[in-house]
Amino acid sequence: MAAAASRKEEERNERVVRGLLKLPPNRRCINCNGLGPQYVCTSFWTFVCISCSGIHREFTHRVKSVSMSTFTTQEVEALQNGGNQRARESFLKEFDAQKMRLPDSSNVDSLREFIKAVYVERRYAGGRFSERPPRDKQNQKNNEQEHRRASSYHSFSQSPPYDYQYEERRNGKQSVMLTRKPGSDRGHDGKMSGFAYSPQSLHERMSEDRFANENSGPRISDCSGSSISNTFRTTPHSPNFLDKGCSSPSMQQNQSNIQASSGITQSERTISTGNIDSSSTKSGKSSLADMFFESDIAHRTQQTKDCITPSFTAFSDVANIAQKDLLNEPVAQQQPVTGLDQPVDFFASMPPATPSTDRMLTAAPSMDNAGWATFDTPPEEKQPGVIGLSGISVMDKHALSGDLFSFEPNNDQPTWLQSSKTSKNNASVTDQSDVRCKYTSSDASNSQAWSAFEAKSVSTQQASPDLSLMSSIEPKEPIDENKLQLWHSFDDASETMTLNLYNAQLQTNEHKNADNNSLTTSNPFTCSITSKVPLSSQVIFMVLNNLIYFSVM
Amino acid sequence: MGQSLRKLFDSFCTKEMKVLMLGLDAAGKTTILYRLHIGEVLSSIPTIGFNVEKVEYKNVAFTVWDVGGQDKLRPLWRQYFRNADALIYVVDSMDRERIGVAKEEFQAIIRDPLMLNSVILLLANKQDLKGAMSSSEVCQRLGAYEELKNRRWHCQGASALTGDGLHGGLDWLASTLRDVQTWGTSVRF
Repeated sequence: MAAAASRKEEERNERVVRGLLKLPPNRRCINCNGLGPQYVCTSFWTFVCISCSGIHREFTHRVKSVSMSTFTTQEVEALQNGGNQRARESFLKEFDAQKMRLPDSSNVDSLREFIKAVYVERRYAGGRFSERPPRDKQNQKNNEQEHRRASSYHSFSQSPPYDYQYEERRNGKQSVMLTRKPGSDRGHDGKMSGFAYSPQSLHERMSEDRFANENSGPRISDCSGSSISNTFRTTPHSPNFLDKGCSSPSMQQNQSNIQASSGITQSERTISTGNIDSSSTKSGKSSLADMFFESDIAHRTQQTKDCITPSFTAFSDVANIAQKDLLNEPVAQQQPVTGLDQPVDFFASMPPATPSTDRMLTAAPSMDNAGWATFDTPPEEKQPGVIGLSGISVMDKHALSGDLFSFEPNNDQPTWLQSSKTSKNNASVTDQSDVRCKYTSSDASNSQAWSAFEAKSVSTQQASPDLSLMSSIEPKEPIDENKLQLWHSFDDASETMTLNLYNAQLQTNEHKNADNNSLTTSNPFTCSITSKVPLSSQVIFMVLNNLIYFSVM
Repeated sequence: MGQSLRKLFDSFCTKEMKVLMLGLDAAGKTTILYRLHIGEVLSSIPTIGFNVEKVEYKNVAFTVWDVGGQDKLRPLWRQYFRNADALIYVVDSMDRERIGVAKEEFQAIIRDPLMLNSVILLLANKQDLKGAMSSSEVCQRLGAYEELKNRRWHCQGASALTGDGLHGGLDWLASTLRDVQTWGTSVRF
């Protein structure tokens, strides 16, 4: 009789829990946003997925499976009063979804970091919880004594499965244990300071997170939002750049300064100076300091990508300045840009915002101002090949670009390769016709060229279109030739576009994300593409590309 | 003479043992299993079903079955009882609330006819956490002293995270199982 009654109650409870699971906030894991959580974290009354439940257990949080556990009536009531929405209001109160992304469920480390920050350190809980850890420590002894006394009486209350004293005590203990690790307590005093201490890890998180989530909300605004904090963060790390950007009155000086700064990006810098030269001869009038700051803000996504090494940041910003000069436009491009012409709108509404889309935004409207001087015909002829936006053509494109880059190793100009590797300024060893013929020839014989590259770039080219763009740039990073770049840049720009479209349909998948992460963080040059190119031509080609694409559409 | 010969024989011959590892959910069974198997702490998710690994220790090859311990999986434990030479019962020493549940489950296991001949190792896990119950407290709370009067059993404090106590437990298991196989019974007279 009693057994039947309890079974009935059990069934009722399970029904209630399953009903709760259907509520919109509970349909996704609170931590990783994974669909269909099957576990309840009974420490916080949240619905989590199985991988998050495993990590919660590492922190001695209690989890229960919806289907493989039984819930008592008290637990069900607590769950009704809790749930993901409530938990979000308390634990993630200060978590700005615009700035930061939830971790990806496939990345256990970032999940662990996130759960620690949210539930152990309570970094985003706002003022309500921020004083809790010290209080816990104080109460710890008392609670323990209570428990010891209780234990001696053998009177354990099984009815309320979670009395909060116990919970608090355990959490306090846990946080003590965890903060033994160096640097793990950085989150206690606000997230800005916490981030400032670990720029590298933050950037990793950012770049991961940018790719991590599949929800296609306000992605572009997300990027820009996150990069604000990045700007704050990176500026102190690139002091030489900051000083020079502010103080140098002329473009020339800035240039030389940046050339003087140390680091592995020597070859990159020579390229950039080349760009600046060409562009500043056209129109280098406005004050540099202004330019620097505004471009700094305007090109946020670039910033986010470029902040891997300080020197690199410097470089990209110089390129930004160059762009500014070239366009001879007043500041703050991004807002006016969005309304300007169709392609821009189109891309702005596209969910997968690889940073290059933002680049497009800034570049596309400049059609009006940019001179058509440095226009090359061959790319134009090549365009129709790009237009077919199917996956096949994308792959073709990869092959093409791979060939284009891979002519280096097996061409008959070893001197060129060497000179670029040693990163000298004598850039113009090859002339354009040379490049062109190489391009076509490599077009014809392409099979062995691939072997010249490391497996990584090859594999990513096939795996994730997004990344293949960057990784294909990778080998050609020592190239010092402007015209060559012009080619490449055009290629890449169009490729970016097609890939973005392609990607939009693809709905970025997790494994690709992992690839992305490893690559973007490991190689600071992967992002150099957008800033390295001579602007006018790139702009033109991009606009052309857009036009052609839309006419086809 | 016979004794020394047996020892010699034992040192050359590896024995195989089926070991069943049970305990409430989140007691640390899977973590212990992989700590023993590969010597590292893996991040684990709640076990649905079971994990089985072969752990070789002191010439004894333990085939350790680690079965999920969530409420509705516990009735399935019985399916694994047959031919189990040893039971490792893992208890979360921090979990004072559910020690009563752990006791009920434990008693149900050891009273099962299929488990009457198996040796029993009690692992009081999570000893690395401050405020954990001591191993003797765990034994007492499980009622081991009364229930296991004429059984071969051992209680060991352990921490799967640090690895402390695990090898002590396996030591006891290896030597006990060797004795049991030699003498043919686990019941202490």
